[in-house]
Amino acid sequence: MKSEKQFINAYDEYSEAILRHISFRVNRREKAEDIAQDTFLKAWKYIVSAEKKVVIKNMKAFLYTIANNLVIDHYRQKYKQTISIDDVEEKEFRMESDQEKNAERSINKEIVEEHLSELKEEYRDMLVYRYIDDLSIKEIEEITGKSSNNIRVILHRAIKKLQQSMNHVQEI
Amino acid sequence: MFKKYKTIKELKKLKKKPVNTEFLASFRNDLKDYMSYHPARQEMRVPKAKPSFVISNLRYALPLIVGVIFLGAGGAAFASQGSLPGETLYPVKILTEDIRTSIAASPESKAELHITFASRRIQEVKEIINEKGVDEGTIEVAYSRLQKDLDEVTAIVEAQTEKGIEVDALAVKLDTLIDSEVNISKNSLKRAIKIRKAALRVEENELRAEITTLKDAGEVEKSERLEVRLRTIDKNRKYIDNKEREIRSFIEQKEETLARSMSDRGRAQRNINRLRQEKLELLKEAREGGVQISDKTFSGLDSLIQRAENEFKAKNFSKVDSLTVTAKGDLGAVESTIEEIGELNVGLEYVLEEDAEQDSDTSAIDAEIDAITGDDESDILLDELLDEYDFDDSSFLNISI
Repeated sequence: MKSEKQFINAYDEYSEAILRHISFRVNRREKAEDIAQDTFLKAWKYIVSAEKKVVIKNMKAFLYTIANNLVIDHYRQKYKQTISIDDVEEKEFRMESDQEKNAERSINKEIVEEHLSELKEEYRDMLVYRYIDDLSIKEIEEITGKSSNNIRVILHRAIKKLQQSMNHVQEI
Repeated sequence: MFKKYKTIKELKKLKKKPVNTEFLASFRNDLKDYMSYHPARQEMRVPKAKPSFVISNLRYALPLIVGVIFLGAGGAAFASQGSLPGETLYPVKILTEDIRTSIAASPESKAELHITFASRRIQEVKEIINEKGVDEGTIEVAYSRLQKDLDEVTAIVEAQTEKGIEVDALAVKLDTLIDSEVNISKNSLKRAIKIRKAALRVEENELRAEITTLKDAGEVEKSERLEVRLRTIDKNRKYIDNKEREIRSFIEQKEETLARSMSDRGRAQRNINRLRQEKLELLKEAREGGVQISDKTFSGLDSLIQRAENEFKAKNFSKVDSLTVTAKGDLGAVESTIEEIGELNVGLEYVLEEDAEQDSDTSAIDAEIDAITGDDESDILLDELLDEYDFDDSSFLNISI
């Protein structure tokens, strides 16, 4: 019972952040929700399957690692397919979501989100981890398997790139 | 011109990007279901993150600080006493309890305090159900505190035993205290849950009728929405039903643990007393629920108690133990039957009250009353109930509606 309770607490604490994280990396809302769902199911299955007492040092990093793997799996599968109905739907969904965008959101926020989604995958993911999910460099290291130096370099370049593309639009 | 810090600032604003919280809430339930079917075999340990100490304690401290400013410390503590889980002053209530137990003079008085507080937790669950309805989150808060309190009680007795101190008298005293304090709250909780369940059942029937009408009218979307509500109601009913049983069996389990710390004689005496008392409670419950009981109902139980008393006089304490176990099983079976019949009667009362209050569309209610009061049907129901408990000796039980 204790483990179950702890896990639900973890769900309450992190589910929103995990879903938000995934939705920055996967455009279709339903897919993002699927992956968020799988993340928690997979995490629980891992806990259930353990032979010995399970010690999870950092629940947040543990969940993000699973989510990260699932997002990567998702893209691997997707690239295997040629153009499918999915892709068409995705474009439609994007338009819809643009229209539905929250009215109270500032213009800058929209700009930043748009530019974020246009960045190279590696850059975008790193920015999301660091500045939206508020993960420490050490946690990102744990999740992505990249070295801390590498992460710092990518972050630096990503910020620069984002900054450039945002300024570019402003000048026009 | 976007500078680096401003870019980051803009980026950080995306933290507030809304997500589909409805989906998260509904998946939370699915996840809970899934976990109950696939329980963890091993314990999981999640060490607490270090920096959150101040922040997480602030959450508890804040209401206290606010309370101190407005009312003064004593005032806050006093004002908090009637609060329920989820309310601002609840942490203060818990805090004052923690302080009281931590400054208790002796292990004995400490254990007594924990029992008093355990009884409060049950009262809280009762009040939540009366006031807010089935609110799982806050009920769980109270229940987990209840577990903690009673765990403390048995832990104190165990610690005393380990020190080599004779705990027979202490165990008897605490067991009696649980019986008087906690069980009173337990019974009032039971009553509250019964009424809530009856209310949910009426609501369910009304919804069903409404859904049929909507479906006939071809309003698929509306009827689907109502079906979702129907499922929630059904789930809530099952939840409080299970929770009540869980609470009851947890308390019983703790009492048994205490009984194991008693001497053989003390335990035998306690078991006999407990049986007599439970029988009385059952008679009371049957009367409240409108279930008639004949003299024969308890004849089997009475003879078992008599035999146990004789064995007690002969100092065959282990024999008393086994006899009381058998008697307890019988008592449990009668109890379940009385409960189920009584519950239907409470449901009926509720229905009649509702009926008197509002003279509007009563087709669903009429059906409910028919189902309960129709003579043929109640007989079938009783037969089914009796079949379910599979009595060897049919004279042992004689209940009529």
